[in-house]
Amino acid sequence: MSKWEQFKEQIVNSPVWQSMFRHGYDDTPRNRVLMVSGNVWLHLHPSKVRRHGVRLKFTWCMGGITFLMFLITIVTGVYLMFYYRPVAEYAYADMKYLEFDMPFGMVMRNMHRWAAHAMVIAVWLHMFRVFMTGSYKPPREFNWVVGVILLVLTLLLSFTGYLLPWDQLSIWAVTVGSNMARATPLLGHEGPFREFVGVNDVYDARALLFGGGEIGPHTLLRFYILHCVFIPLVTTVFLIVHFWRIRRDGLSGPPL
Amino acid sequence: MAAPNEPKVLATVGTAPAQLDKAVRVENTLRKARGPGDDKIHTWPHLVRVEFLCLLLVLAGMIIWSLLVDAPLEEPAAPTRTPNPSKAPWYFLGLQEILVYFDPWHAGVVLPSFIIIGLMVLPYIDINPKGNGYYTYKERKYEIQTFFIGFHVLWISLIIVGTFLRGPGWNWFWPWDPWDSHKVVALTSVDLPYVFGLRDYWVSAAFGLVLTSAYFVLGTILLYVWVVRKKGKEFMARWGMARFGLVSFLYLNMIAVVLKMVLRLGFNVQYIMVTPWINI
Amino acid sequence: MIGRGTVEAEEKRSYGALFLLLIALLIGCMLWALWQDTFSRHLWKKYKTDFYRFAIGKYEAELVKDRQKLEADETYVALTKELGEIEAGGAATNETAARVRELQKKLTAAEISVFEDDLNFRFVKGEIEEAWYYYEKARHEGKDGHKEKARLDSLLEKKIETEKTYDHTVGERDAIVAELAQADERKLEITEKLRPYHKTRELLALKLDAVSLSVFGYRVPKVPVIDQVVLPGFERNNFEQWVDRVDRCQNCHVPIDTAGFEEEENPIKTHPDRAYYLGNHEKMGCTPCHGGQGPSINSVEQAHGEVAHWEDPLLPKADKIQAKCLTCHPSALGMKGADVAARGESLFREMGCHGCHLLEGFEHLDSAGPSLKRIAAKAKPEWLVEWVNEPHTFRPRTRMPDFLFDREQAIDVAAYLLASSLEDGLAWLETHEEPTGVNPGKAAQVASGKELTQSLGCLGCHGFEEDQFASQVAESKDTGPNLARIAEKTDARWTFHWLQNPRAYSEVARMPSLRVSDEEASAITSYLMTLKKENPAAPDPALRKRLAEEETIARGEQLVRRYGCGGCHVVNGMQGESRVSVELSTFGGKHPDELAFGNRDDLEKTWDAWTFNKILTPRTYATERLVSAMPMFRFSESDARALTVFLASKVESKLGEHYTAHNAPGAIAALAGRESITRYNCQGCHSLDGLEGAIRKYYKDEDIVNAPPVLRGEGLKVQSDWFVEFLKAPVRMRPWLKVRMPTFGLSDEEASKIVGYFEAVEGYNLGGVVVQGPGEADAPASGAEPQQVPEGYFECGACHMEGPGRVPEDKYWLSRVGLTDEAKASWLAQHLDIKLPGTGGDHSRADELREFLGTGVGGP
Repeated sequence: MSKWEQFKEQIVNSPVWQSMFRHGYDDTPRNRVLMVSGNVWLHLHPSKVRRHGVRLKFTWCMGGITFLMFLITIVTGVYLMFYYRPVAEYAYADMKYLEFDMPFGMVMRNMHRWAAHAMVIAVWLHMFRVFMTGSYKPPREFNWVVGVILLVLTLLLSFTGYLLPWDQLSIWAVTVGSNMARATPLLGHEGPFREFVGVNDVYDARALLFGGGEIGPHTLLRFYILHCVFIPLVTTVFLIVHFWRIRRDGLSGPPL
Repeated sequence: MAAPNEPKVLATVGTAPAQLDKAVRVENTLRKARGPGDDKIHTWPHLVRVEFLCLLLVLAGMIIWSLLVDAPLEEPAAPTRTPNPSKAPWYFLGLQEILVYFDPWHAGVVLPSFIIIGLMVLPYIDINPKGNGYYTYKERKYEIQTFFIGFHVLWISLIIVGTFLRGPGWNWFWPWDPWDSHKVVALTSVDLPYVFGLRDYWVSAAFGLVLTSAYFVLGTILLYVWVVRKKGKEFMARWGMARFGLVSFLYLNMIAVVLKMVLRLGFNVQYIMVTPWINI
Repeated sequence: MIGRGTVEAEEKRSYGALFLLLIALLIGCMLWALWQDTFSRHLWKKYKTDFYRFAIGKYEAELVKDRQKLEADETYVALTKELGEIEAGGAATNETAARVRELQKKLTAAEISVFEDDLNFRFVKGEIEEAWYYYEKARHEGKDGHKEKARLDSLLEKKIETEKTYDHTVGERDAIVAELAQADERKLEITEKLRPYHKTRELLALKLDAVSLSVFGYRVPKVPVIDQVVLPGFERNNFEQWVDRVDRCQNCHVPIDTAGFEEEENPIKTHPDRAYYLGNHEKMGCTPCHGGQGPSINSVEQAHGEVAHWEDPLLPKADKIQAKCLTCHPSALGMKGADVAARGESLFREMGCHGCHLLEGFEHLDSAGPSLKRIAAKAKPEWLVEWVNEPHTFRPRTRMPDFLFDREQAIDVAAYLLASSLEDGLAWLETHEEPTGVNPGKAAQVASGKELTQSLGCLGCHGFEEDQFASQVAESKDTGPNLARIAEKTDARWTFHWLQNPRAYSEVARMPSLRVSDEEASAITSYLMTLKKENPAAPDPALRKRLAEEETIARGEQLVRRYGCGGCHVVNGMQGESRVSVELSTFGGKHPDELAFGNRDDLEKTWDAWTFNKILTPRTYATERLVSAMPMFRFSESDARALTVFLASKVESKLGEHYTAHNAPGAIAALAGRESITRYNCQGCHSLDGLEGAIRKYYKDEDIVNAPPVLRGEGLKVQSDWFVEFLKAPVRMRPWLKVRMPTFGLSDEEASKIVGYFEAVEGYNLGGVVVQGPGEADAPASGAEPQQVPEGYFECGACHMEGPGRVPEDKYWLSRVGLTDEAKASWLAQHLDIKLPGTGGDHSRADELREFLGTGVGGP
């Protein structure tokens, strides 16, 4: 063995290395399985998949792309959180500072916004694909329901995030979107049958969204917390269930 | 033993309600890997590398897009000055568009709820065992068509309308029309009972109520007849009244949107039914 | 190497090429992002570095010039040469050099001893503190503390010793230093002499340090760092919260507040008139005056706010920027650098805009036009109809706008005006009879009247020929009506009584009384009655019949009400009517979407274009359905532009209290006073506030001293109570003058405001006090002779006029007041010390003179 090979042997056989990397990397079937099953990130996958699972023509990879967009928004979102203050005095100004001062500030903001839009589109395409391949049929019905919940959460994430720049586009888009809530039957102060419940303009479904009778600094804080903490947590919970179900029921595919 | 290509039939569900006795839940389970000729390949490297390529491509695309196109930031928020037009985020523009045809409680609360509920119950009302895990059109024609109408035709095109064809005052502007905030469009729409010559408030309300109920009743009956003709009585028995009823209700609501659009855009009709509590 | 199952093409396929491509693409993207962030997105770095380089070049060039200048100076060269020789140890004798070296060695040793002794001393002091602590601790613990006390005492003794040693060592060291200084005497001398020569160089070195770093002897531009001005709590946002204003303009406009770059091009340019505009720079930033997007440092368009969705773009320096002055200041009048806005403001006042448009701060101004309460007693009905129909035909430079009435409407309006003023007019006529001495046929009387109009001061406000005018409020708009055709309008009876007492006819008359006698009034009236272009229209019975008809009068009333005549004129029956048009207090903030452009598709859809054209041609946006009642003022384009700039400043104020200049007491006083000064057209006669007295153009150069006096520095010199009294009832100050200061009928309050203006301009603050004059009984009689200064006493006559006659140019007026006001006395004291020849700092005589002036020369 050459010196180099010897050197490599020493490293790879040392206790330090062995404690970190527990199996070899020769291309053996055993190692192929261990790569997946022995790795915390990759063991989300099964160690073997059905053949068509790798075919983009079948899966379109849309579920993965949606998840990727989710991760991108989290990473860029954390960067943005350092420099953005969710109070009406500073929110807009901070957007300007992100654009002008912060290194890569604008790029991060752009990635965050486009990833968010892409996530909405990707989740729709994913839903479309799952429908076209009938992958919601038994035994996968409940996973589809979880998926619809995730769809709604995605839209809510995007909606709550829309408000945060605190510019005209933000508050009026959210006003228009939330104004529909005041027409909720029974629970909205302009909805049918409201007299039977006694809701008013500062205490109804819409006011719950706004944190008051109209949109203002209180709404901003509320949406910020929903956007950065609450809805991502709920989404994560449902994602966990969603992935678990995929593993449990296996990737759908044509009957054998 | 089931032939390799036939789906496994599970036992019937014993404690289910009567209508579901005849329902059969067909599972397409995986077979454990058995040996040469089976369907599986190693995740590493085959799946993982495809995923990684996908990730690289999408990431590169995202970065390029982010470097080229800046996210918008308009004037600082001013609660006393409404921009014209004031549009919801693009994914809600479909709903904002149907606000033209329905009142907010229906367009903004009821219909979105139906959409979500409809999507959620989809696996439970679809009892066609075909198409489970592969692409086919012929074997699931009606399911695909329904989804297509709901998603692509209605949802997507309403978003397109809301984004590109609606301008100040939510008036109609073709893509080549400049957006004129002073455009005046005469609002000459009337309610359907008025079109039929009815002038009394309660008579009109009753008329509207009758019409709406008739729509659903007759619609359901027509749908029943049509399903039986296309798929046969055994299918209907297997499908069951609960499922059929649900499908019929949701489907008719969906078609109602199209009908209202036609009535409004083509015939200037505003409401079918006007009552002190709800208008439809 | 799957081992089982069939191996398909898919599994054999290599994606290596694709991987490589994508990784390369990603790396390329990363590099692109890095490049974008470092260079192309944040352009301020480039601008700042460019400036640093430029400045380095400039300063280094100046250094070179300085060095050349020094090298050309013989004294400098000689001194430097000598210094060099001393330092090299050559020119001085070897003995001196050796001694210096020895002393330097001794000094080093002495410094070490000083250091050691100082250390010992300090240690001892520290130990004493420690000993005190233990001693006190022992005592607190109830012990007797003898041991500790003993230690303390011994340390105290030691301290005294060490201190002595230390002082001694320091003394020795100082002695050596003194010796060295002596030995080096010449060197020190030269260094002191050279110091002034090096001043420029040191200054330039400091300047260079501000913009560069020295790296291995080379000057490189400093690493750019973001500078900003933060104005905390500057304004309220749309949610009524206080937000800061942040300006970063000086990252590209680096030397904006640095002297020396006045000749360069922007952005490397010092702010023009820097001391005036940037006195408050750290306090005010840039965007409050200029507009722009303060936080931006990315690109020129971004920083100047010339991008979509930024509502405050950079304003043109030519005029519109002046609108911003009014964000903080209550008025632009008299403000340097705000001439366009000031003209707009005074136009608004003078042309009577406040009569139809409510504007915050302009609610209570006096009406702009004459009272029509008694017009039936004054105007010939035929004339009135033509006037209402087309004012500019009769008097091209009248301030009255043209309402574009047709003749029928004019008749209706005239009918109402005549009917509503009939009662009051007749009452006035009853007490003001036909004058007996007026005879326009007599040439002598006419000539006398004409001469009077030319000498009494009428020319300050009026013109008597068609193209004659002195003071104007706007381009081609006279202050006082041109009288070239007055005989066509009214009769002798009205003119005579008006001249003698305008206030009796109209309570709101601006015209003052010139205290004309009956004879003078008759002469002037005769003259005025000859001023006509055509013969006055003969009485038209048909017209007069129509004017008396009920229906005509009723229609006229509707028109008068609709077009808001009451906004400018006092009209019977129209008191209490509200303003007929829109409020303009926030007009500057209107969006183009909120402005109706009518059929004017040719115009840019901007606020500027709309407003400018509206002022120029008010009915231009009218359509078949949208009517407009605003009359045509026939402004010139530059006047219209001035008004536009003024209106642009009318936005809702969201400024923080402590940023406004509203509390400058002088400003308030000056503004209040200016209102009256403008109303009574003081500038028609007197030069003040930077404007030339209008009447001065009628005086030939050699006669200019007969013109009304220039009012410069009055606030410094004139005592307040005397000034107020004078304004209320002018006395003959300079008896040789023919021109007459009129009696304006001012109240105490109004006179005090005017005096307050003069004082505020000089930096005094009267504080809004209403100064009472001493009262009529003590008022000096008009026409009293001045007291002469005794012959030979101070020879005041050498410079000051003391009596009637022509005044040579180098003579000064003598103020005849008693000195009771301390402040004004101090002015006089200064004046005496400085200007008076012969006192030369000898105050005793100045005191004497002061006393004399205080008691002797005239005065009340």
